[in-house]
Amino acid sequence: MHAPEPSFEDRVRDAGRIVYAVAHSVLRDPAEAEDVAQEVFLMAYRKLDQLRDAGHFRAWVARMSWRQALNRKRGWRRRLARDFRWTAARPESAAPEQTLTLQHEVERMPEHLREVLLLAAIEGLDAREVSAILEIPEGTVRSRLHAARKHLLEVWK
Amino acid sequence: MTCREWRPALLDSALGLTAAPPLAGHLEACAECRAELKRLRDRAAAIDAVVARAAAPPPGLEDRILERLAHRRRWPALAAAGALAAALLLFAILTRPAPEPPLTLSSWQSPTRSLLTPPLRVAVGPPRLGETLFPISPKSKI
Repeated sequence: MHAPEPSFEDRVRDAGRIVYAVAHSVLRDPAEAEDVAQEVFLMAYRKLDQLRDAGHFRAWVARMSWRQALNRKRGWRRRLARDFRWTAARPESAAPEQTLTLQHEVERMPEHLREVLLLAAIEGLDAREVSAILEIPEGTVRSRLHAARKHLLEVWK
Repeated sequence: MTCREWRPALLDSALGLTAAPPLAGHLEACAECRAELKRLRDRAAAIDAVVARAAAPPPGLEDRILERLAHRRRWPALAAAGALAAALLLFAILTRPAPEPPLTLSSWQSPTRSLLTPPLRVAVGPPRLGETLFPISPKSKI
């Protein structure tokens, strides 16, 4: 017996955080990331009949979020170089100065490592989903993630 | 191998890779590297925390998304109603009777002027040359 199909509201509540976090990993701006999340769910609502496997909804919208955020970022680049902003949340485990240093190091990191690091840090996204979003093999995701964390560990004094 | 040469293996181990047997043997013998490994593991956890917290969604995100979705779902009905109202308004404008031209002094005629004009003249127009308006012969009966 099949489980009942989740309502669209259930889907939003299940995947909303991930869609936002994926957009945030690209844009590093809370307001812009929320805007992208809104757009993605509107698109998903209109195109829901195109989704062949309902079980892949989360990966589907995460991928949409990634593309939308990249498009928006390209628009920014055309207009002006923009300072990235991080959320005000501060971890208890690191002092603010150290956190800022770390954030700076993340920004300086090569893009192919940074995108994997930030996507893999999203709770609920595993290496398989990150590989689907970035369209790279799962093994590459793991090796890049390891390289990114190792780089931070080495440079973070 | 010196402790410095063990450092890459220590970094891998701190990031969760299983320590190769030679490193495990070195760690058993070297208190300094054991301490360094612990420090690196703490740092790795702190790095993960900083990166993960940067993406924490703002409170009420899902509610706002659902609210906007509901608004967009209502929008086609509102748009259809608006289009119908616009069409009706256009129809009313196009089919209304033409307004009478405004009365100006040059076009105004006194009502008494028409009373002064002979009715027959009005009906047949002005007499032409050589024509009498009322050809009355002496024999004709009135």
